[in-house]
Amino acid sequence: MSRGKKTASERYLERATRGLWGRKRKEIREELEAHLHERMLAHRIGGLGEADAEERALAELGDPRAVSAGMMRLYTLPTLVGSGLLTTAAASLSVVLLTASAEPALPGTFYWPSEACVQALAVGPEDPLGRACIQADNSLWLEQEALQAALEPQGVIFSEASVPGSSEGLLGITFPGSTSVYSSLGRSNVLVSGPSGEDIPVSPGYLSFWDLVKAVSYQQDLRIAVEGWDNPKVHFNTATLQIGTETHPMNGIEFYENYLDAVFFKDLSGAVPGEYVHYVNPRFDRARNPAFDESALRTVSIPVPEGAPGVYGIVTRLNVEGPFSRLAPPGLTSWDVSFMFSVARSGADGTVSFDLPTAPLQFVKAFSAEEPEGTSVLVRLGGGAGAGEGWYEVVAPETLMVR
Amino acid sequence: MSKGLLRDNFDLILLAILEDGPKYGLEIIAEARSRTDGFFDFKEGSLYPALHRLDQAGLVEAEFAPSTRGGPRRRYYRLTEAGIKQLAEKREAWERFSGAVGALWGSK
Repeated sequence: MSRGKKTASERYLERATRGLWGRKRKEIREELEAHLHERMLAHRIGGLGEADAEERALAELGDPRAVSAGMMRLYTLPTLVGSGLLTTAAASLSVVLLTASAEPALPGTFYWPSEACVQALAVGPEDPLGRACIQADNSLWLEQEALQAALEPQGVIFSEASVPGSSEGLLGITFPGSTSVYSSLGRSNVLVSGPSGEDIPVSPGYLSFWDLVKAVSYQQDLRIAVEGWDNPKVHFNTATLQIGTETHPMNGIEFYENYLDAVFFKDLSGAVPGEYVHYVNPRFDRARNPAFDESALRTVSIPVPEGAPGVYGIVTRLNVEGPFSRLAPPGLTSWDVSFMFSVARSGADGTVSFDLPTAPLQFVKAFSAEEPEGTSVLVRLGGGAGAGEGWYEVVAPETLMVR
Repeated sequence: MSKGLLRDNFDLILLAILEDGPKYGLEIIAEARSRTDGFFDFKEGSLYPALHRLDQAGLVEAEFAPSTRGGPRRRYYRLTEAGIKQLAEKREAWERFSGAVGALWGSK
């Protein structure tokens, strides 16, 4: 499903405002847009071409998730996620429980923003449909009704909440054996694709899967395991949620690469997603960008230890000195915490093939004897793993992220 | 430096920069760099959550104004009464602290 071609700036703005809603989102987007506009202008005056000026301005801004994470802490999940004292925090916020419940818009659990939205975005935010679609973002949306129907029989407890004086909603989710997580809830003004590609307003409630994963990644007592490829099953402790249906299939690689990175980065870097971590995912760009330069990617096959079939991920830390150094602003030491992430299924021949960037050879070197400490790592994701098990295990090399 | 300490100081720097009058993001960044000799270098994007945190805390207020260079509107931040008071308090606390450390460190 194509989501249209977007500029790097547009992608930045979407990422940086992800999880925010309504007026706040619009304001923050405009503020960042003004920043980018002016910075790019300065770089162009300084002699850079348009593409380089944009690249430089974006690099100076840093990881967009640092912005969205910071803003969400203020506007969407005030202290709920960060503190770990969820019950107390919820009480002090005077969260009001809602009893309203409406019919689900559609059966199923997830939707993409519709094609019409993508078109409207190309027209610009002045278009009323475009405005609605800006909120729709590129997220994977879980339909609240379907989510509850799938998880409640498994002992998951939901509490719908809203912060008084705000139109924003929160969905509290208590998985078995865990304290509650809170995720922001979209109520209106979001359009999604129906089974025949028609536009359907998101109502009564949808939540962003990425936000949910991010919230879950803060929880010490909640483990995620993922099983399968297309239409994968996600285990939250002992509860299981299938993402995707026959009519709305979820593509495996899209899912793994785009929605599980938050957990992955936190585990591997020890950093809160978005605060220190920059990530590069050329495959994602290729899927989104029809003009993607194919020569920037090559296929690398790596033998799987003991030939065990499954879903494998490769993560690398890019050195500041490496080919991406041109992206690093001067003096920005945190830039060296930079990950590249890709996933693939192993083949019958006992190897797994990744589409990797042509440039950084660290990928290959890390698996050779020349560089035993390595800058990249091969992991087996929780394919076939039961609930409650870790969602990945490191299979090569044993040493992780050692400089 | 602990994150809390850095964040407190970051707030102090932002408040101090706004003391001279309303400024928007890029102006604040340029001042923060020049007034701290680049010591407080930061990803520019991280400025905005910090400013919004001060806004939520009632220490600054913000409004959009047209850019003098065309393009999207700028968001200008100004100190509130509470912000001015907070700045004075933080500054005093800082001076007491650095005076005390200076006395300990510098003597003999």
